[in-house]
Order: sequence, then C-alpha cells, then structure tokens
Amino acid sequence: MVLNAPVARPSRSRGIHRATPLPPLLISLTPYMVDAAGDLAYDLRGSGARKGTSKMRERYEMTPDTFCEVCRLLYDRHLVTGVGGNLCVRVGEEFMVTPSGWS
Amino acid sequence: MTPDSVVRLDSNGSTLSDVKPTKEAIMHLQILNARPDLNVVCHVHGVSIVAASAMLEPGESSLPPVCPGFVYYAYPLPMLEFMVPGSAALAASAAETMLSRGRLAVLLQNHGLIAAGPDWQTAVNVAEEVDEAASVFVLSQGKAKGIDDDKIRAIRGPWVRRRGYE
Repeated sequence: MVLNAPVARPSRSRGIHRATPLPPLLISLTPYMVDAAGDLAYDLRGSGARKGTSKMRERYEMTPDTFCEVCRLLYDRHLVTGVGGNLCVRVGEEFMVTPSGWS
Repeated sequence: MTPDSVVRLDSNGSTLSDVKPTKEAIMHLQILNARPDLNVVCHVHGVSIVAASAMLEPGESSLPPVCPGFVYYAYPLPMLEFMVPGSAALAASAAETMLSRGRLAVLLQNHGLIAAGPDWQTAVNVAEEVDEAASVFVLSQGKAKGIDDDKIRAIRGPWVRRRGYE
C-alpha cells in the first residue's frame, strides 16, 4: 500500500475526471531551459515578452552553494585565476557577486 | 571561497553583507541593469582569451569566426580598448556594448572577456566557446582562416529563428 499517494482530483476547467494525476512538468521555474543537447538556452516566454509588451520578468533562482560551484567550475577550466575573474548573478531585486580577492 | 563569503548587493550596488565585493561589481550590475533578459554575468581571464585580445584591434568584430560554436553564440564579438579594470569608464562602455539585443559576450583588450546569459549554463558555455576560438586563434599565431559568410548565416540561422533577431 502506498502511503501519501497523490489524491486524484477532478479537473474543474474541463469537467473531466482524471483517474491518475498528471506527471509534474519538467520545466524549471525560470523562463529559460536547456535543450536536449544541454547547451542551448532559449526563451519560453513567447513573443509577448520579446516585443516588450510584458514588463514582467520571471525571477531567476540560485543558491550561494550553486554560486560557489559555478566559480569552482570556471576555476577548474582555467577560465579564471585565483583572484582574477568574477561572477555576478541577479536573484530577484538583489545580486550575488564574488568577494574581493577571490574568484 | 565558501557560500558564506558570497557578497549580496541590493539593486543600487550597496553591500548587504560584511564582505567587500569585487571591484568589478559595478560593471556586472550596470550590464544586468541594462539587460533584463540576462541574469548571470561571468568575467573570465583565460590565458588564450587574454592572448588573443592582445593580438587583435578593438572594434565591432575582433576574433575571426574560426569555429562553429563560437559563431553560433558570440560572433561577431566586439572588443573594447583597454580601460583600467574596475573603473567607471569600463563599466559604462561594457554596459553600452552589451545593450545590443541578443549579445552575450564582449572582449576586453589585454584584460579578458565578459560572458553573460539568462542562466549560468549559458554564460559559462559562451565563455568556453570564446575560449576555444581564442585558443585556435593563438595556436595558429593569428593565421587561422574564418568560416565563409554564407556558412555563418547557416550556423546562426537556428539562433535567429529561435530568438527572432540577429
């Protein structure tokens, strides 16, 4: 017996009862995703945002741990030196940036 | 560097933590403020990138189109003449150059590269593609021949179709 199984709810919008819940969407919360090749990010917001009709910008998320991992990645690939080179990330209205003297 | 030492700044660039940010934070912030579609800016000093930047002339297009990955992500790659790292002049010029729609990279003479993206995967990938092209350019002592214009258009076609601009 499966404990904590998701409860199947009837879909109100279409009036169709789904016996099994739909699988979660494999899309990140940011408006961009990496394609199957793993190397290409593209805009999922549609033409509205590109034409400037929508001022809404979806929040990009990154934890300080991931920030450090990216810094380490750049260092390991010889793209930055011990103190030269740096990273900056926008998270909502704030920014995360490399401290002085580190990379 | 540990997660605790990551510096947090507010939208005006004021520090929210006790640690001093990199002197080039002003450049990063100006770029991100100029381009709401970007979230990550990485500034790299790879040996090949600095070597290539020291061999090339500043202008709208610097590094020749020597490999397809570079052409796809960052060609034509503009280069700014040397300015003191961390200076307001460099920050303003870099942000102005990055204002161009769809641009993800700018080369800085005798200094390094700015690579940006909507996410860190894109920003790091752009940096690596430019690093590869710069390595080819330097290894060939600047003699590497570029890809033909019609093939450049074919390579950049998917980019233009996906993003709707050159």
